[in-house]
Amino acid sequence: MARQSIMFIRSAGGNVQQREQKLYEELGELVRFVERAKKAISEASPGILSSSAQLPTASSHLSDLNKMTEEGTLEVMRLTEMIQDNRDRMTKELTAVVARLQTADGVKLAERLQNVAGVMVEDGKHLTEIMTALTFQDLVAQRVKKLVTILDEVQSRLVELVVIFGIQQHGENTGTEGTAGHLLKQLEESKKTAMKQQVADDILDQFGFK
Amino acid sequence: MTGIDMLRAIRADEKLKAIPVLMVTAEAQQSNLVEAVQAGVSNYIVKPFTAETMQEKLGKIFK
Repeated sequence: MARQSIMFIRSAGGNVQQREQKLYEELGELVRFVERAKKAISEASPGILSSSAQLPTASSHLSDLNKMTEEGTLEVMRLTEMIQDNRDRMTKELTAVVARLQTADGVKLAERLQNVAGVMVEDGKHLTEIMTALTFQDLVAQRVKKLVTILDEVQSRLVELVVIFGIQQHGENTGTEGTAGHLLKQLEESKKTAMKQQVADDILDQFGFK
Repeated sequence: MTGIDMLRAIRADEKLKAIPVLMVTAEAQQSNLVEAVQAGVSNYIVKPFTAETMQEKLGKIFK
């Protein structure tokens, strides 16, 4: 179609005035440029697609991070639980020893052992606090998952744009507003989904939980 | 298996169904809470939580 247009412009060019000749020449150059651009994009597209597939994506790094923190946290929680169990056993043992020593008039020694038992109870509380503190991992994992979703979406849109418009095009507004709007919408939605304990309690009250 | 699935399985088991279940979750969405209530949850804690909240909820379950 572009070639037909050029031929038409060329054939018509002989019948127009001199000042219009320039316009037809410009139009002809424009048509040739469009044709060259189409050919370039068509040749570049397979390369862009294959190279974009090789791009190290931030989302895969975040997924790895998510997995690693999850595994680490679970291991710490498992070990902490084992330590807690061991401490409970030792506390019971010490309590039994104290009882025995008290009857054998070993009052002083019993007192010191009682102190040791007290320290172990204290440490047990600390271990519980450590486990409670580790629950942050669930929250982190949720945020990371949301981030991965957003990154995947942005990546696919960018690749789409690159393939459609070609990497030589720049400085144009290529739908950034749409993507940003989408991201903002997602962030807004994520804020709405967060629920505080007070809200949960209010809902539970409605269901008759007192 | 999700927490809700586990809760449903417990409530469906004759030997286990009387056991109180306190859900501690970061899936802080109203729909999750309603689903948990319908599945028979005993109480519900949203992460992050304090020791006082846990104590209060356990107190309500075992009063």
